[in-house]
Amino acid sequence: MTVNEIIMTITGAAIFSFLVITVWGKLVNLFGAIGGYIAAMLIPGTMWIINHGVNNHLIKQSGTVWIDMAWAVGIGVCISSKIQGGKVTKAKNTLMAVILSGIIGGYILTIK
Amino acid sequence: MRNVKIFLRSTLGFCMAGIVLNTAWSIFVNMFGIRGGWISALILTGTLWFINHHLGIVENKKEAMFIDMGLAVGLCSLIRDSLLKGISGLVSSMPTFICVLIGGAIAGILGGYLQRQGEYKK
Repeated sequence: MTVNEIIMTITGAAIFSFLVITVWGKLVNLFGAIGGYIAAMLIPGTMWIINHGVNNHLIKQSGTVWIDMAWAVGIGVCISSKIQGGKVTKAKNTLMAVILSGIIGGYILTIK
Repeated sequence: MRNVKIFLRSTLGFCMAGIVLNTAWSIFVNMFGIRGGWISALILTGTLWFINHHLGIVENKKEAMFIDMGLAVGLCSLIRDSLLKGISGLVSSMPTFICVLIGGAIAGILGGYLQRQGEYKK
C-alpha cells in the first residue's frame, strides 16, 4: 500500500464511523424505528458507494481477504460508548457472542 | 440458564446479520448497478438493525459497552475469506485491516468526546 492509499482508507473508515456515531442515534430519537430505516439508507448506502462501490473507492483492498467497512463502525461504536462510560466487563457476553457468530457465520458462508 | 438463553439469542442475531449482509448485498448491486447500494442498505441494513438493536435480539445492557452488529458482519467476511484463501491471504490483507481499525478508532474517540460534551445535542 502506498501512503495515498493509507490516507484514503483511514479517511473512508473514519467518515463512515463518525456519521454512524453522531447521526444514527439522533435520527432514531427523532422518528423512532422509521428514523433507523432512514439512517440505514443514508449512511451505509452512501458510504458503501464511496468506500467500496465507485471505481476510485476510498477503502483499498491490499490483499485477497475482503475487509469490510463494517469493521470501522464496530470499533468506532465500541470506543465511543466506552468514552461515554460503558463498562467492558459487562459487555463480555455480547463480545463472546460476536466471536462465536463470526466463526459460525464465516463457516456457513464457505459452504457451497 | 437465563444467561445462556440470552447468549444464544445474541449469537443468532449477529449470525443472521453477518450471513444476510455478506450474501445478499451483491444481489441488488448486480441488478441495479451502483444504485443498488442504497436499496441494499435500506432493505438489508435497515431490517437487520431493526431486529438486532431496536427490538433487541442482541443483548446490550444500558451500563455496558455498546457492541454493534458491524463487528459481526466484518468478522464473518474475514473468516469466510480466511477459510477460502488460507493464512497467506489474511496476512496480505493486514495493512487494510489496520488502516480501517485506525480510522474507526479516530472516529470513535472524536464522536465519543463530542457526545459526552453534549455540545451537539443542543
